[in-house]
Amino acid sequence: MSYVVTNLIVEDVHFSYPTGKVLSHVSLKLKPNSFNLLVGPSGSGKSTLLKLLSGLYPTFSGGTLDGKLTLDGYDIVPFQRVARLGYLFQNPTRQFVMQTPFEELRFSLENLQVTPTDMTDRIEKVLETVGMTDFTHHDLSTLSGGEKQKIALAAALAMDSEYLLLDEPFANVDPVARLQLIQAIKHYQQQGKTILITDHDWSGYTDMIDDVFVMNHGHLHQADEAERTKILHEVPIQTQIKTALPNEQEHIIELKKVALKNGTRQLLRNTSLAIPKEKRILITGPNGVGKSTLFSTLVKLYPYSGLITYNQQDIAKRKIAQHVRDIALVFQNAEQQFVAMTMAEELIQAQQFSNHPEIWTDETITEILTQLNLVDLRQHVVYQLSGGQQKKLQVLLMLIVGTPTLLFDEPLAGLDNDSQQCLLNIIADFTTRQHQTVLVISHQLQAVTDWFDFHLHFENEQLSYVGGEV
Amino acid sequence: MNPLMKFAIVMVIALELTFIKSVTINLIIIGVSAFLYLFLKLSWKQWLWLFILPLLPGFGSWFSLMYFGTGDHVHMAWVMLTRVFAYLWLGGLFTLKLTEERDVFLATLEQKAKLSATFVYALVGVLNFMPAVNQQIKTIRVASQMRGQTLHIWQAQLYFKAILSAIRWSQNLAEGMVSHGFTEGAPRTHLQVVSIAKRDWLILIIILIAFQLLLIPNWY
Repeated sequence: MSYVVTNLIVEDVHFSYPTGKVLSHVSLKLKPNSFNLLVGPSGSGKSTLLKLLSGLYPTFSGGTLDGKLTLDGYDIVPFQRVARLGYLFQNPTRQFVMQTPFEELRFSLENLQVTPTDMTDRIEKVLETVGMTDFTHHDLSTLSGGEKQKIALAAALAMDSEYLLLDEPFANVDPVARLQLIQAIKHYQQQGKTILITDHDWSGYTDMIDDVFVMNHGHLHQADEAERTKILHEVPIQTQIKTALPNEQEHIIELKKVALKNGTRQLLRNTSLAIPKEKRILITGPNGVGKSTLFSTLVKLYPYSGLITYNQQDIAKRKIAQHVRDIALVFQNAEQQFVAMTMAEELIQAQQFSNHPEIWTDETITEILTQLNLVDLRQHVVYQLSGGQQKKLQVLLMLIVGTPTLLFDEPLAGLDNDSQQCLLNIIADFTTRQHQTVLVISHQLQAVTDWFDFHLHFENEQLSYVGGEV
Repeated sequence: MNPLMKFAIVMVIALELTFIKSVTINLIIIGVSAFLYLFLKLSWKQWLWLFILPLLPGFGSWFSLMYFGTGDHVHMAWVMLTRVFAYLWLGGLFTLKLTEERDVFLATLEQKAKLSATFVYALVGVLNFMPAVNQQIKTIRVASQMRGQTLHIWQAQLYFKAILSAIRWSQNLAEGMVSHGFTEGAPRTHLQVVSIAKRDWLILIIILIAFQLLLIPNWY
């Protein structure tokens, strides 16, 4: 283990795209061996700062960088940089080169010129740390979002760098795995490392945090004692989800003896249940259990066995174009939902195909955009929006289309508390007015305690309703 | 045998076949390949492809030479027909087992043939991406159907989205490589050091010499 102190200097940094300024006058000083939290609303520039620190920007983004941003001087090439400063992406699907976790970690260690005899040990150790030993040789493309995030963290830990930058590392991770990962990061810090993490929910590790930094519209400041205490107390309280068990209702979707498989892995076994019409249903369960796969199945993007009906019609016999006009998926990865280039074009397209054009007037849309802090971004290219902004726009677009049944795959992941509440209110308001059935996969439970009518839990190859009188 | 050595043998022989106008030699190549396939345990589907794939180009050139050719056209018709089969069956010796040997092949390219690691890993990334392409196209179509728009096979927008997602993906690949410490031109260590056995070199030399000897008689 190296104890050479790396000097990370960030002084008066400015960063801008031709379309506008992202960061101004940013200075950052991290104490050695400290745990730092970076907070701020979505789109304020947190990810941009982290990507600049990691050296990915401006190489991969374009834009102009001014000010002093150095890591032990200037000319540091990636493998030397990574040895000192590791970085974990916000989007777990985006960071792999190889086919399996083992190969990916091997690739990373080979780049760092680690002695071959140490490699296998090191790989096995970190995979154990993140609880993914069983998946060492699985195909990465078959892993769930949360599982991929664990592998990405393992890669960052294996590189044993002094600084570790984590961009929303828990956004798609289930609560149990979240605690596991926090422990792993804590353990890593205790070896003398410095951590910088952006997150919207710091419950479970509040006591580990040393310094808090606040990003607001591209300006960064370190919170003083009073502000720090205030922020750290804003931890959302974990409450019981209050839902009832469904009784005799009109059903929109019915599953009869349905089974799902991912390769050789059984996800769902012989499950029969019904989804009531025009209700809001929460789906929870650990990472990789098959929640997203279940949604893909319902829109005919994934094979299954058994019988699934929508409005008493076998979905296997329904044409896909017609089927997805009745039941649509709000993808976990927002970019998959876009069909145009700019936000304005996307909105016009959605309005044009809306099932409820009388609700979605230009005024209404402007009002909602204002609530979501998106109103000034209309001319922006959708692929250049921040992760949180993309998510909010995506949800809005799907609400405008107004499909009778909407399946939301982690609509709140990576959003700050205010944005989460705001988005939930908007979803509730419009889905009620448009008589929609809403199914939501979410790990952000604190935001949704009273929001749902029913709660489905997915675990051990079974999907069943929970709740009622406790 | 190391796949790169196999590749070298196949390439040299295939190149020579281009200049050899002999039905017999072609038939010998086909025969030897077929003999080797018996040990490779092919699936019936692979056998089927080996027979079907050369049919159209093979008989295409056979017919055109046979009925519209001049000079030594009858002989050349048979040469072309057997040559197409010989090419494919010979190439198959390398490609049909490539899926299993891909990693070793790429590692050999990097470590032994000293091909740029950037190129090799970009190739690895692309190969890992291939199976996802079909699903991606399907998802793009369904995603736009969810937005009320049906993109047909002949519509440019479908490909625009596909190209866009390929560009995004290649950018992600580059970022992923860099964030996992990959540096162009920098030395790397290797968990699995590829070595080419002396036996492989010996086999290569023997096969190539034997093939040259085979060319000496004046075959039909």
